Amino acid sequence: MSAATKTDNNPAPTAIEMIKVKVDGRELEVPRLSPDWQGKLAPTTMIQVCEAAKQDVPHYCYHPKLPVAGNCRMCLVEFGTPALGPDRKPLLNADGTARIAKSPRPAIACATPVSPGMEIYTSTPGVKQMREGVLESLLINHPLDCPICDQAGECKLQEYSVDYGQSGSRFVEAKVHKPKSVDLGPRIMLDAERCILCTRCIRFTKDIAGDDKLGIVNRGSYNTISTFPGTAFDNNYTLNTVDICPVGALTSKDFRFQMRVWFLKDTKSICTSCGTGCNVHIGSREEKIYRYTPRENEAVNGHWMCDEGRLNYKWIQRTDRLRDVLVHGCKSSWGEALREIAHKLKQAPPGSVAIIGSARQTNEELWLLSRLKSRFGAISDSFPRDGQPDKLLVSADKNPNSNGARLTGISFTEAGINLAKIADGIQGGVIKTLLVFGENVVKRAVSPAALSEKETTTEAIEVHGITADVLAKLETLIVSDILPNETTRLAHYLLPGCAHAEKRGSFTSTKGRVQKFMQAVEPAGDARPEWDFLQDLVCNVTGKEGFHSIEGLFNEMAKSVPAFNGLTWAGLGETGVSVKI
Amino acid sequence: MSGSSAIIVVDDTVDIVGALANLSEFYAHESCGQCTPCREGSLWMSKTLHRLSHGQGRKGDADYLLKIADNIPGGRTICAFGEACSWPVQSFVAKFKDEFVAKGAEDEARRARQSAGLGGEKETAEAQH
Ligand code: SF4
Ligand code: SF4
Ligand code: SF4
Ligand code: FES
Repeated sequence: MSAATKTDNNPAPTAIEMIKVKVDGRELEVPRLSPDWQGKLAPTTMIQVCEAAKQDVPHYCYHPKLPVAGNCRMCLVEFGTPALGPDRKPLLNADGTARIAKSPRPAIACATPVSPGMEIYTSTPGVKQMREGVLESLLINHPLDCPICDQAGECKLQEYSVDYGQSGSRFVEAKVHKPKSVDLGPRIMLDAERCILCTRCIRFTKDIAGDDKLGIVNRGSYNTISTFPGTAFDNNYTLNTVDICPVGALTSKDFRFQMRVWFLKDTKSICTSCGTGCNVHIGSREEKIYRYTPRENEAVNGHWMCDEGRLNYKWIQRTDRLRDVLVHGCKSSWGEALREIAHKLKQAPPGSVAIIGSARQTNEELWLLSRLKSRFGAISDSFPRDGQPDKLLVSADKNPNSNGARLTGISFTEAGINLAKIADGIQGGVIKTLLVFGENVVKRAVSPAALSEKETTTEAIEVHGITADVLAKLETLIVSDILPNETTRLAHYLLPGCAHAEKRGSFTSTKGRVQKFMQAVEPAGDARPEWDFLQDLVCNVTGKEGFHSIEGLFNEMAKSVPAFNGLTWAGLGETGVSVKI
Repeated sequence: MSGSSAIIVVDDTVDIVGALANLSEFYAHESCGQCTPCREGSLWMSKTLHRLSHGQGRKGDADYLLKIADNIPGGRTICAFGEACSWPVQSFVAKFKDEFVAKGAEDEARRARQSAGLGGEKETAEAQH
């Protein structure tokens, strides 16, 4: 990977002319050009100005990251421009201010550029009436089935109806009926009656996902969203349409009817299914995760995430999770097991310890492992995990933290190059103690169908010499993992760890974005966050007291890892910081 | 005026409600459906006029129609079809309001007679809310 991301720094500041406009009487200076949905400079629109003026303009079809369609008409506003005399000179009022000629027709704020001196009116009786009219039109044929609609609670039709609509309906005709429960593709259901025809889903699919699968069939009020007959809506980004659909027309098969959105606790987290590190919201209730949704981060994933990453959470709640600390197969306690492990490690002769970390572990955990590594002069590595990249977000690196493993010194430029040496060392009797964190080392290349749910389906597993027979030669095998596997079954000391959703920590993405994530749910059984018990272990081994908060640990790590110098836990903010990698 | 700046000449035997119902049905069928006011308004007007011209009218339908039509034109739609579909309704109802009111009143009176005579026959149009 080359230098730090460009996205972090704003594009070189070119002098953009500023113009003065008024929003509801309040004057403000705005650039004549602003970034459009693709980030290219285009004439600043009314809706951008109103946003800058903190004046809400309700809208359905407009989305800052999609091409403008201007079809819902919800954003209609009134406006005026400086009046010009026959000589094209501005006319002045008696008090010397510019005379404003109010436009006889309204304009859609989402698509209308502003001009110098323009006055935008967002709260006049005329504007209110137009909004009421649009909402009434959207509601007359709407099924009004909020009680059974998954969108209820985060529905723009509900919200705007309360804010801008009328309380009654005068519609007495028969409603238009359209297909319901339409199976659009493997992950998406459509209720065409709830659709307000904003075409956000069509534009996303065509212009962002590059799939051009969705369109509208039929005319007028019978307009219906559809795929081309006989084809399925199936790309790796389909679930984003559920997020941007302002109503409950598009629903996720995975989430529909599972939980009312207002019961969900929101936790800011990171997707761990590849090295891109898309920012996510985890929606959970009573220690159960119900969904991931993308969290906006312009430097990483914009507004989107891939379907594969979004749905890769079920393994966290598997019933066969490792819950107990096991010493030689018998249930033990953390204190006892860590004391025994520390004792064994302290007695190990230099060069007899090897550490296999995982690029799925956090920066902090890998750094603690690297402290053990330097204490015992151990050889270390992590596993590469390669898959298919795509043009939008998905990275070829299926590990969320390959850079973290490298920067903390657990693996090298090419992850996996030490695995053969470790295998030889064990074979030759030199390496007698092996710590394995979060990797099933004896697993060999497997068919995608045989992968456990924890694994993403496109990864390939490195072929190396560490087999079950080789592990049997070890004096001490210490394993920490989340789900049971062949390696955990061979462990002398088994330490149950946590999924990222159960702990706090940070990852370093393929592009060098250091991002933190928060805890959404409690760990299973006796499982503890790896950083937490590794601190205890490091303390037992070195005699130095560790940190009992992730903040302290991160800040200490940042001081000792050159690439992280200057970073602080608090300074990472919600969207992370880019470092040189 | 028929809407698209065209003039249609009819003699005084033509049922003005029926003529507007015919015109509105055409517009509802032609609306492309892109933008909300015309997509929903054109069919709403057409359905109302169909009801009014098929014995299910109400006295208030003339004002009801005007209110629907008023939500469409004046720059609220993407193209001029919005104006085209609402102007005839506005102009027909403005010029012949008495005929629209009379038709609705007649329907209401007939339904009242029927329900009195038949012991409360179900009011179909309003029941479809
Ligand atoms: S399905 Fe949703 S996103 Fe797509 S056009 Fe309908 S309302 Fe808009
Ligand atoms: S692109 Fe990668 S990080 Fe983003 S959602 Fe998909 S798997 Fe997760
Ligand atoms: S006004 Fe024009 S663009 Fe809008 S729905 Fe009617 S025909 Fe389509
Ligand atoms: S948001 Fe402007 S027309 Fe839909």
